[in-house]
Amino acid sequence: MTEILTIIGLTIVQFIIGLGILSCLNIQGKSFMRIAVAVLSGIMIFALIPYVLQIIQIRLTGINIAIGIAVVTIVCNIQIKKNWNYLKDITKSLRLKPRLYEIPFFLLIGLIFFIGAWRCFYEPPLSRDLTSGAEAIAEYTIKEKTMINSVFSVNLDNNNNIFKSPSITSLQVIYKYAGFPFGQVWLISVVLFFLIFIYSVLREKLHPIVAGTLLLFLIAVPQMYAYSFIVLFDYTNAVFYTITCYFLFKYFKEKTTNNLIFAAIAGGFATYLRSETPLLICLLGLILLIYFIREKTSFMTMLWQGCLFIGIPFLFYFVTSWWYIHMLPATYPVSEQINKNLGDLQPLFDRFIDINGQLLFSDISTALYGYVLYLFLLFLIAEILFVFVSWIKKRKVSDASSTYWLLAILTVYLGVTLIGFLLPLADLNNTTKRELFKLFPLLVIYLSYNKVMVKLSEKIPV
Amino acid sequence: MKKTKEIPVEGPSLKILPVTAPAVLRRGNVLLLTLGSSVIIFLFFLLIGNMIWFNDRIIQYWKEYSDQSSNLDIEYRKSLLGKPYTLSVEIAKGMPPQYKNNALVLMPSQRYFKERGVDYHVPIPVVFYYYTGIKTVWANSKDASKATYCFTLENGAGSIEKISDSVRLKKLIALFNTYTYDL
Repeated sequence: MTEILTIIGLTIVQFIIGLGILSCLNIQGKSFMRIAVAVLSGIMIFALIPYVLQIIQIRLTGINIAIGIAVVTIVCNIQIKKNWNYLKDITKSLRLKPRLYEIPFFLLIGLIFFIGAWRCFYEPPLSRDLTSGAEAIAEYTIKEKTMINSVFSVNLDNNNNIFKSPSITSLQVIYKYAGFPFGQVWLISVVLFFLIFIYSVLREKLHPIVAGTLLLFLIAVPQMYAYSFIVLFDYTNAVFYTITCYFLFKYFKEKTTNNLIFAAIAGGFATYLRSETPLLICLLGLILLIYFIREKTSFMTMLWQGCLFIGIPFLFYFVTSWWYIHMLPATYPVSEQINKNLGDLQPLFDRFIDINGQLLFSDISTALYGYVLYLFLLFLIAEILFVFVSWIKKRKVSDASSTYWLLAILTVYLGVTLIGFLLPLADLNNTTKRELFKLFPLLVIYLSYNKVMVKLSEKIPV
Repeated sequence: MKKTKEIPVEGPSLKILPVTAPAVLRRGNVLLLTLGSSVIIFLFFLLIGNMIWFNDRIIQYWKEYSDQSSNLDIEYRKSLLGKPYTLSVEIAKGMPPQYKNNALVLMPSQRYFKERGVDYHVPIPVVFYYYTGIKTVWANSKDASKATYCFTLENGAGSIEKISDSVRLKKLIALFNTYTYDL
């Protein structure tokens, strides 16, 4: 019971921090979407606190971290009246009572989520990538009150996990201090609020039954589900990459720069989790460029908004990856990890073929990733036919949203291939397999913009 | 303004609000849609991959949950890390606590253990340190020559011994290196 209250308490603090950020940027949208994004942002701000304290050389005691959290909470909510009004605006349109026909989905998805949440709480961190990196550092941070601790005096041959982002280390430290011996229960909040976010986004366009069906398909992606209770960087990275895309495309639709700024911040959070994310952000930058060209945006606007969108994730990269690695007592030659022979493109094609042949469309593809990909392909073909028929009949198909989501899917599909080519350590069966998690939320959200899916959904009475 | 029908009864009159047709239809729709939701969930499980996943994972995890919820002991939960954890902890017990902080233990490989009848995937030094607080080194590392203790297994009995001289250390490194280390 104490554990549940602690999780709720920390989630409330995360919500308050996130609310401050969302209110400051005046982010608009559905209530549940904003609540979910506020909590998720708060979690990532939490993840920055111990790391920042480490940079400014403050001992990582429980008290110091608690003070750090309190200070950040106050700073994020300095404009208390504005935030209060923003909160009232969120709660005004909050509908807590589900419709009867949503309940079967909520019950099943709730059961699947609960079982994952329980395992996340009950089991120790199982992934070797974590026990040989973030978790080991976090454990000794508690004992030695610093992230630069005796773990770095151990023989580090055959192990690069200690050089990975301090994001999970930071979260582990906070939750261990909060009384969870294995930390990691922060992932329960990430998963829960991500599911709420996705459902809320799907509901923007779709009937609750269709949205519930798509959410069910998403939670049943076996590999992703496994990593919803086994802590690693990939699931949370996929969460923030999805949020980045969502707010980028929200910017396209609403033309408010605040959405672009928030997209860039979410891209920064994704970068904090996985340091190769800026590469994918650059690919998203190409979509932004397409948008600018379509909208005939002036060169100066194009320049500063483009720099903003790419610059914030790169700033995160510099502060959280580059700086962190240079702060450590052990050396990690980053440049040696990069493919030296970039002129030879054969490995690029090989990786592309392997991703398709051994992962996405292999005999075990449904065991790895469920049916979301096939559902996507089915409706993609249907949409292509629909657009083609509309074109023949000279009807205008105006909404470009589904095209943008398709392009976002391409950034992951091609970007993950590119990462595998540039960084040979990113092996197919571990790194790439998990990097593909970013694909599935995008596929599901695309389906909510798919014209055939929307037409079908509109035929169902509310 | 909705019309109400008055029913003559003894005492105060009873007003009955009419049930409108759209409300009935709406209720019917809701029930139909709820049935639709259930049918979709049924169809979801007709997909063989979903059914296998649900049976192998969710149902299995649910059964485990029933047992786990009555056993919250931390050490028991740590044992879910498997043999690498439990055997590492057993090995660490052989180290006198006063030397624990400064010792560097030379560890043989998984194949060394296997040849002696023990199935033990030797964790890499960081993981061993995380499990036990003892620093280890593998014989194939350039730091192997800094080892001050070593772990050996003879006739089913394991022991941590202090390495007395460099000749003994070199012999142990050579012996352990005859077995390949697996990550």
